[in-house]
Amino acid sequence: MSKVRVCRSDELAPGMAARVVLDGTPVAVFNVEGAFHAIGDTCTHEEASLSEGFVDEDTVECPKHGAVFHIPTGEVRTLPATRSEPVFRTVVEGDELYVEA
Amino acid sequence: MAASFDSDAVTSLAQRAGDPDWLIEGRLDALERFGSLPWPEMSLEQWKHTDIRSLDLESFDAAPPAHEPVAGLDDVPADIRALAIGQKGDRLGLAIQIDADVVHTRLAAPLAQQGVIFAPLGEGVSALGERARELLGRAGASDHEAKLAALNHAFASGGALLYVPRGVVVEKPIQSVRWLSGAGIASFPRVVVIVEDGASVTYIDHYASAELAGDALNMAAVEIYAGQAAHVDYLMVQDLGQQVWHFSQVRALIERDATVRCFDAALGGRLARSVVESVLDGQGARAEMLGLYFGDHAQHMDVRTLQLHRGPHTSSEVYYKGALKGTSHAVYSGLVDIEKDAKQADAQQLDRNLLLSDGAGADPSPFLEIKTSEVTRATHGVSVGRPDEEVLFYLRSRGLSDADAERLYVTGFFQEIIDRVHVPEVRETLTAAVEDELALED
Amino acid sequence: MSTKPADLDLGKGYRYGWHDEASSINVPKRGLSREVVEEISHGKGEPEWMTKIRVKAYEHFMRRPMPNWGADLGEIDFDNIYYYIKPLEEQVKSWDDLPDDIKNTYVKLGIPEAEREFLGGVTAQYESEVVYHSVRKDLEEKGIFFSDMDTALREHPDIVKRYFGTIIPPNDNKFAALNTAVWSGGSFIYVPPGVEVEIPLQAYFRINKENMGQFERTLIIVDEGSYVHYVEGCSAPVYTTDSLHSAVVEIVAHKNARVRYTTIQNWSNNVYNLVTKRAVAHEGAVMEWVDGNIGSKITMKYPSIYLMGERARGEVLSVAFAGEGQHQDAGGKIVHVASNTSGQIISKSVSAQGGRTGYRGLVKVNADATGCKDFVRCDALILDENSRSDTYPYMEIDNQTANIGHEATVSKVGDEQLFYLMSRGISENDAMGMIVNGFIEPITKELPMEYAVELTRLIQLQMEGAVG
Repeated sequence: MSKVRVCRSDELAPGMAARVVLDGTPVAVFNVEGAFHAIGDTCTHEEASLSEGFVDEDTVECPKHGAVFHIPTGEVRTLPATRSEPVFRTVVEGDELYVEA
Repeated sequence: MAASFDSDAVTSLAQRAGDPDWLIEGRLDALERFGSLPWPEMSLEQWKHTDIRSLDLESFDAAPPAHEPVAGLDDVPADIRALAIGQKGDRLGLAIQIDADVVHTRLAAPLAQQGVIFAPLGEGVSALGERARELLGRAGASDHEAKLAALNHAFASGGALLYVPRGVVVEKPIQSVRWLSGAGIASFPRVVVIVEDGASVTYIDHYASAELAGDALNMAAVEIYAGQAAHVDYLMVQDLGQQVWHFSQVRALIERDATVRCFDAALGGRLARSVVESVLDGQGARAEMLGLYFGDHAQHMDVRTLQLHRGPHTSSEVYYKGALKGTSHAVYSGLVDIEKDAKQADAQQLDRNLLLSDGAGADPSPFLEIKTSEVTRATHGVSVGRPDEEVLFYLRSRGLSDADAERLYVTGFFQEIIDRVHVPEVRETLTAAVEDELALED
Repeated sequence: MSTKPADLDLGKGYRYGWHDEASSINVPKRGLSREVVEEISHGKGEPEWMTKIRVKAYEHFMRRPMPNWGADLGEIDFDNIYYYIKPLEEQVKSWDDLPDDIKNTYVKLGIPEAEREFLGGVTAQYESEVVYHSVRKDLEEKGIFFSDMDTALREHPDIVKRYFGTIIPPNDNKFAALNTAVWSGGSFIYVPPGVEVEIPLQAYFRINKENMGQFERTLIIVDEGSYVHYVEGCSAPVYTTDSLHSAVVEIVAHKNARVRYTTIQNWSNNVYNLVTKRAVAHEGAVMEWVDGNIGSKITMKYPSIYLMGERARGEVLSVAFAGEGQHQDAGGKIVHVASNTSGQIISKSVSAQGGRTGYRGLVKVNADATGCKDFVRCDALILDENSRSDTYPYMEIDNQTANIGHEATVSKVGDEQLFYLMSRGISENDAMGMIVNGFIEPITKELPMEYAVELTRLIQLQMEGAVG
């Protein structure tokens, strides 16, 4: 099972996002009110990074054309995106935050 | 030790090529330009679907190990020699380039006597003198291709100068075979074709390699200058290994009543981007830009054309046909630009794509910018789809297996475009290549 | 509908170029700021969630750069525009209740007459608010809700909240962001399941004050198996300085529903018309955009359809005319998300007297959408030497079973054609007119006759002076 380190778990504050690459796939990692979630980083609409988007409670808005995704489930909520993001697992080991497939 | 992409490599390549001083200066200017320009990004219209972010220039050798010139054609390795078309009598000139060096050049004596020059670029330019200096670089490059053009002009290796003086008609084709010998090689052939008033020539530029153990880079830049009523037939056949990054830019400046025909066959490469641009300056100038591409596995085939009509009564035709199998993907983008003073222009632009497997895809975007009403014809068409089920059904009902029915269909599809190639040996090569592609396991 | 208000000759035959000395309720101020956005929302008494969306959208608008493609928007002076003007305290239900000055405007435009004769319901927007609407009794009884957006937000907040901004999110593009921040007026239609609305519902928008920005927001939800045809027309007086019209239209056609949205846009030649229109078609649904662009200084508008359910179908029929000083950049987008969906885009544009038309379109087939078909035909007619036409079609086909075709031709009026007609005693002007009509016929034949006649007449007017 591949695993990638994101950062120290206290470095990703609520409302913040980080981006890592897992097996060649960019993954966006969010802290939603203390809980960590990870979903595919590339917007399913066009080339854009969700980790650079606008976080509002438990949703993130793609910076390019505003498509909204539900962070915990990766579910697509608005056009122009029509597909949901894949979900990845986050794991905290000691002080460190990881993402795994 | 792999050479880095810096001025030392430029100088070393220049010396190897025997460039005159002014051409060396040109290389260094190009190096500077290359340094100052950003790599094209997918946010650029003309690079929208082509991702070169994982291309790491420094992983290649800017000045690959030299290959010594050979005594005769028989000394060229057999698999390279086999790419030469026909027998000696079927061609009037042949050059073999391996990586950065042209190891063999032959030009029929009568042509040489008439003043035809066919030589690696540095040598050829020195032989041609002032005329070369006048024309080289005049074709320019579109902004979106400028970075790669500068890269080629700085690190140019081998390549060719083909010069045909006024009124000379070269009856049989002249051919260059450019071979990449191994992983890590970077080769930048720069080709300049100058055909003076009333002259004509057919030039075949064949890029090939075996399947390589690792990535290699081939970046070719071709300039074609067609004088008044001249006729140029330029055929680029690209059948490189699937580890090669291939980029080519062909730009033709077409004078009054001249015709330039470009045929572009793209078969290999992990990413093959072919840019073919025709500038129709003179009244009555004509450009035919035809081509085919066949992608398999995860290849990315990218074709971009430009039909730039400046003079009156000019005509142009773009017609590309492509087939995609495996998870390969084709991009076609092209612009027909008819300027205000280009009255009575006649332009056609067609791209047809056949998708042969689940996972293959195509993104064609043909653009028209028409700035005058005095247009004879400006049309374009694009299609994307899989083989017509009715036709396949008919073939199967005649006893053909699925595979045979598809083969017949696809070879029929390409036949239309292959029939427009004027060199019989190249037609055969292309027909065989299409068959090979079809036989490939996905 | 063949209404003939008195011909007023202003500008180049633009009949609607006069303006009224109308009064307004709020003190209008120019320029945009977070305060203006909040004022608009609080003034309307909107729920907190809508205020929040507006403010977020305002921030997106400020942050986003201007588009670096399409028409030249460099001269829009955002600080000089009035973003909100309220002409009346309340909506009225009958024409006679309107203040005289506003009523006169609509009488001149022929609206009340048309409504009596022909239309199912009309909303008429003047500046930023919808001042009058009426919905035929029988429609009301069938449960059809047709009002302006403000009323809808008050009376059906749940429906509005469910759909608003989900088809076109606030950050979709700079002008959708602007609209989402300062939207006012626009139409809301809800058609319950199994209802066919036989007569078209119409809205008419008018910009009156100089430098006015109009930002209507329209939301149309058509439930399962229902049908509705909505028609939108617009005009503005001729001024020397510019106006901005930045609208957003979101449409949802549920399972087996059918929706047709027809626009005959005839803004005067000082209006920047920048519109985002997008529809979603679910299983078996059909969505049709019929888009006529005759007026405005610059139009950028690409009606889109997302085919989200199996066997859904989308069509865009677009006709554009660009005369002197005009740039019509139009087209359409169809995205095949579900399998066995089909689409068609037909675009006909005419440019004359230095005008410029552009077709910009996209046909996209997602990788997991099988058996999709789409065909695009975009033709352009250039009437004279100074005019220009551009065609920028994009195709992104990621499924092998798709069948996609595209054809386009740019041409001028053939000499032989013209000569033939003139040799039959037809004036050059009329001959040109006939040829242009023949050219756009595939679109006009889809319009109800009255609109086809109106469209043809409008183009004829524009063309006067285009010949000779």
